Amino acid sequence: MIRLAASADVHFGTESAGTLRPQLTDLPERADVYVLCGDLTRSGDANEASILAEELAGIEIPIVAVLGNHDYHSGQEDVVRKVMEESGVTVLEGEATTITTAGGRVGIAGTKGFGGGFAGACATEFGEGEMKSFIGHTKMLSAKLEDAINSLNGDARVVLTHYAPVKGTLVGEKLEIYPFLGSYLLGEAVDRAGADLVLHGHAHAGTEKGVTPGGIHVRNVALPVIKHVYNVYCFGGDALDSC
Amino acid sequence: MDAPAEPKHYLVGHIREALAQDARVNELTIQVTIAGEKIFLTGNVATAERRDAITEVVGEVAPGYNVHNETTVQAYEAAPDAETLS
Repeated sequence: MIRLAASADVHFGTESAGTLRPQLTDLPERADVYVLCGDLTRSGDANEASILAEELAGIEIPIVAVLGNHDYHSGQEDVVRKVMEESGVTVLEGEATTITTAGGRVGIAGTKGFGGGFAGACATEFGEGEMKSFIGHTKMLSAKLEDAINSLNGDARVVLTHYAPVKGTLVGEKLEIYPFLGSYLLGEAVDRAGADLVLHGHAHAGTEKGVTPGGIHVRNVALPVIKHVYNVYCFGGDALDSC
Repeated sequence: MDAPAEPKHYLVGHIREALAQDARVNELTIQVTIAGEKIFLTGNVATAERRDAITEVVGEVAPGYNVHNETTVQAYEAAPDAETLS
């Protein structure tokens, strides 16, 4: 059994110091891995990332993250990533990592992802260059995510995105903004490659629980959705009752 | 002071744009409702400082309106029991 703690959209600013760490003191007793599904910072400023890195320092379980759209706002996403990685957080963008826990090995693949909408009501790579660029970006990230999932070894596979891979976890959001909240291309990549669980954020007014068309669990762990500092998901292996 | 004559539909858009762009806030999920000379703001923000900044920014974008900032600050409640996925 693998115990995974997850949240998203902490939106750390330079004023956020001390707001998160007090709630993470028992995290190592409750989970084997902690994942953050994007929007680590308010505006993608390196100083904001440093504040969050300090907040997470010394937590004695592996931490894995993807970046979100807020982390790109200042054009310092590479610096944000570097700051987090220097503090020991593994940041994934079309990449994968495998972590050995007491309950087994868990492979984690991740990407920020992007928008475009969902099958039947989605944008296509047609027309203006800006439109082609928009959907082309999602296609590129989805393809890299699929490759990353396929590269995973482990007893369980987990996928992290910031943007939503299904519309089921967007229920509560305005329909008009679904194309800016996620894309079916992410869900399709996950279904083709296979996984046990997909975690995402970004949709603050959405719903926690969903499923891909291929039957894979999806959880929207945006803080305003889960309303807790993190949720814990247990999966894989035996002894599930002890979770 | 009378509220300006800008159509409210567009003003909602301008306020949301300012809340996203202004470095004091950078919030994309605040709901804006205009009723007469009142602007109601709802949603969830990460810190009390950002909540206060929202009032400032909206006051600058929409002078003459009464700003009712009803946003809430994200609470970090302790994690609930784990969910076991089957």
